[in-house]
Amino acid sequence: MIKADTSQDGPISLAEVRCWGLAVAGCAYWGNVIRTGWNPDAPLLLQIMESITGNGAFGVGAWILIAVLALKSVPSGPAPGGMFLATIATSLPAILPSEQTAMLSLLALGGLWLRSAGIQADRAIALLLFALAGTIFWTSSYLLPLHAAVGLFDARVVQALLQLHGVAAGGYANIVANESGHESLEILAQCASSFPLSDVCLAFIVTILFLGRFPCRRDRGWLIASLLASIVLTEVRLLWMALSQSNYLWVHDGGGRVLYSLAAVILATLFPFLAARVGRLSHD
Amino acid sequence: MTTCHLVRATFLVLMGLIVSTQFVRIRATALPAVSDTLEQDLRMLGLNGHPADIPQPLAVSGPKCEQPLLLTTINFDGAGSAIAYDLLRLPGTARFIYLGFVGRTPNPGQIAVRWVAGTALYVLGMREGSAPRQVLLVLIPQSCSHLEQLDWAVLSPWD
Repeated sequence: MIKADTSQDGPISLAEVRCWGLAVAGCAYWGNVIRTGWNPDAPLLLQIMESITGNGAFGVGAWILIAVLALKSVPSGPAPGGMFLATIATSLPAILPSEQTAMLSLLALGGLWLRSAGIQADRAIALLLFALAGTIFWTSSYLLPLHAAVGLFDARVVQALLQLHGVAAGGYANIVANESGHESLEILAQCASSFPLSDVCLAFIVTILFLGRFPCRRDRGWLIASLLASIVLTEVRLLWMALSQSNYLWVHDGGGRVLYSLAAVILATLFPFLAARVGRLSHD
Repeated sequence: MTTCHLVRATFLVLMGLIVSTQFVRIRATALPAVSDTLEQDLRMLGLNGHPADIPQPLAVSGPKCEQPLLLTTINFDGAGSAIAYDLLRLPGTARFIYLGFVGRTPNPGQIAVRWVAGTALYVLGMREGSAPRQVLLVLIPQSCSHLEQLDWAVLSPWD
């Protein structure tokens, strides 16, 4: 068994072992992000930058917050041998390059932080690690059929909205047919209203923690409102795309894409911000 | 070397391993598509068709069958499901094929088990290719019922 005490340069601290664990988990998380978005034709550095930014602002924000909180949470004393071995064990699944193993690694490390939580910052780190693992799971290929099934429902909603808008619309399966414009829209899993919900949850947690609060039961209503707002935004986006071919191109591949991302980020931060403000006011 | 150095070296080796296995996997990221080997697989069943049009319905000619068989793929993300929906409204017998599974209806349990098992074995390095993310659908015309007995699993075998 490895003993933490050393004769020459002192024992390795618990804080350092915990930071190493986070560094390894970060490596696995971002390694997966870069691998899954890999484009062999783009230069390496550009590729890495695009993968990181394409993963979403809140993924980056979560890791920045984890680093800041880890610096806050500096337990004194040497690391017990068991802690070192447990940290290594949580990292081992990540050697296999897949999203599932990275998710397992994040969950296990989150559990370890929660188990040894001394202060609120430790619990916040654990929560962020769980949220990141949840995001990987929710957007993984295993849940594509679920999102595709939600896409069927979205197609009917968009069809009804088109009809309300006075447009002759039909459709079946995941297709919405705009019979006036002779266009049809196929809603795939990644376009379904359920797909961005894990990112909305992550955004909620990151924003609340950034505002200096720990999420609590009181925030559930705000979280549900945030999820509903995201669903409504997705339906509006799909409706806009179904109206005409030029709309589709603008929203899917043009300037509308940036506008949609901006609207999604604003909505995702608005509700946790309100939750934090209202919570503070009710305390006062 | 002190224990302290050994601990740090262990974490660095772990990080190096994680980064290198990710980059090794990048080369094998491309998911196998059913259509990659479809033409060859169809010939094994005595059928002729060119898979250039997948996921549009592919017309395949079979022995002693005047009407063409229709083939399409349904992706797990929903792509192609509208075409499949159209096909299933035509008269004929359907065959859903996925990693050795062949059924008249798309049995979600069977497909999910094979998908998860195929992916897990691939991640563990015990399987050469990852599990495909599409189910193959074949519509056999009513007048060609003798083709229902073919070993359709050949089009998406487990091995």
